[in-house]
Amino acid sequence: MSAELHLLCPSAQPDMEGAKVIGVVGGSTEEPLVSYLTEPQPVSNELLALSKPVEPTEVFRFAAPCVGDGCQHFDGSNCRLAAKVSVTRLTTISRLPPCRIRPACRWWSEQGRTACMRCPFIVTTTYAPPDDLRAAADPAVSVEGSKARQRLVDGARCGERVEC
Amino acid sequence: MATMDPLPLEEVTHAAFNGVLRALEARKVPIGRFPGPIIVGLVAWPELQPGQMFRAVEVEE
Repeated sequence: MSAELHLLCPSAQPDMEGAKVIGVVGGSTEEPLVSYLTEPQPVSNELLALSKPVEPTEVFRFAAPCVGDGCQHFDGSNCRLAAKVSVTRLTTISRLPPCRIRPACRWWSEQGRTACMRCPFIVTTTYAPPDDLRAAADPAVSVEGSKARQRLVDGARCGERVEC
Repeated sequence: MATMDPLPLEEVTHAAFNGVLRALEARKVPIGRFPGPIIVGLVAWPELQPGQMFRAVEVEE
């Protein structure tokens, strides 16, 4: 298994093998903001219970080893989601977030600072995504299509669930 | 631009509670549809002094 397959996905599901909690989504509905844990924590029933009655991925950010071709965002060599997130108009932070998985993160490995500066504004499961994030999360939208979409101003459609 | 500090483990529970409220708001679902700890948290906690929580829970039950 190559070293690249050990890269971590920073927007993983809690039931993925090796998943850890890396952050808690705070902020507001309009502008969520992830607070990164000083130390990633193994997923436990006690931690997951803290998110009830909503889904854990609405409250926590999880990291897990990238599943490569098992993920709809993987194009065979790179993560399309990371590429699309990196070109969104999401707010960026002024310096790299205090994220503990960065050395092993696929998004960082492929996109560098542009992904890291937007990462704190990503909610894995959200019902109120910004339009450009909605496009980024749509596997049917190509990286080029996502870039083109950023140039468009289209109407908001709220209340639709999006998985990043 | 926002800046951010790391989240100590001892603050995870509080942060997660705020995260649940944010998620419920994002779903645009009335908080009242979710009985239990959320209701207690919203209604009772802000008005309680230390040590009063258990009496409030007994009243709820």
